[in-house]
Amino acid sequence: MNKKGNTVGVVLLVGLFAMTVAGPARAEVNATGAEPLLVVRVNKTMAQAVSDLQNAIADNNFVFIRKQDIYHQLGNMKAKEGRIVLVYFCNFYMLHHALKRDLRVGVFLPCKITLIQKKGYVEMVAINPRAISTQLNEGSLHSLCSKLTHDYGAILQEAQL
Amino acid sequence: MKSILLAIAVLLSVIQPAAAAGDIFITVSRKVDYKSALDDLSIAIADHHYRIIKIQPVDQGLRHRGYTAPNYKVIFFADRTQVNKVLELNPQASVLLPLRIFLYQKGNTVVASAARLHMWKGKFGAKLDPMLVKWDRDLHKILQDYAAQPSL
Repeated sequence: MNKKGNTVGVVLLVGLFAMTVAGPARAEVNATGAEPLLVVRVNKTMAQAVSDLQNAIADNNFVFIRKQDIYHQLGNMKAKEGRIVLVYFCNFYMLHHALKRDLRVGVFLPCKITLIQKKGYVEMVAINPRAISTQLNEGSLHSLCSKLTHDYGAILQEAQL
Repeated sequence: MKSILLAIAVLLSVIQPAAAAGDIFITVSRKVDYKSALDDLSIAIADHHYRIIKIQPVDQGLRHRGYTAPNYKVIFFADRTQVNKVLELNPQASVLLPLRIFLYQKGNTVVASAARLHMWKGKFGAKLDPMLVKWDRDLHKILQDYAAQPSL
């Protein structure tokens, strides 16, 4: 290969290396191979959906923490309440071990599923922990986030029945 | 030689912004007792016109179940006008609400940290992007105010 060919080769190799290093950090949330949101649609009333979700949380070894309207503590919004309900839950064993590994795990605390009332159905939405963990450039949380994504999936699937 | 220098320049120019983009946390820390830190952070949040929705005692939850835990709380806060706006533009974006800052003890310092929301730009429609930018900016200002308080 001549001198010009060598130069092109070096630049290509460097570019390839740079893409490898910089790629994941620059990626948008949904460009990481994992969908940013986990979304499930259920043909139920909001009350039934919340109740079934609470049961699914318990069945998957998580502890229900609380449910609250998105307008909770934000003043008298009776007319708008009931459209969006937040359900919080936690697995304390998992949390304990996660905190020992990385204190920044707070970004995932506590687990939350948001229920959105639509016309004739309820949408259950959660942030996909796996999609977030790929942004952390930190291996320590990846396995935890993969496990959480799996658990969220199981809870959403059961709550959908 | 020139080509190698050019290659290094290209490499640096690509990696430098990526490091900033990959930084998903805004984090500050102070040497202060935990209760004062929580008070200072609560004041900083209120100063930026947000209402605290809940202070989640993660540490107590763990201790009640027999685990050891450092002081660790998650502070949730929101603004009613912003909630209205989110619901009007794209209710799915409510997964990001209420906003949260986590406050934890690390040795003799108290660390306050929040996940940046810039990574969600474009996900909920362009009309919500200015809100994401504002939340990022507000989180940054709140944490700066907290960090500017006197340390021990």
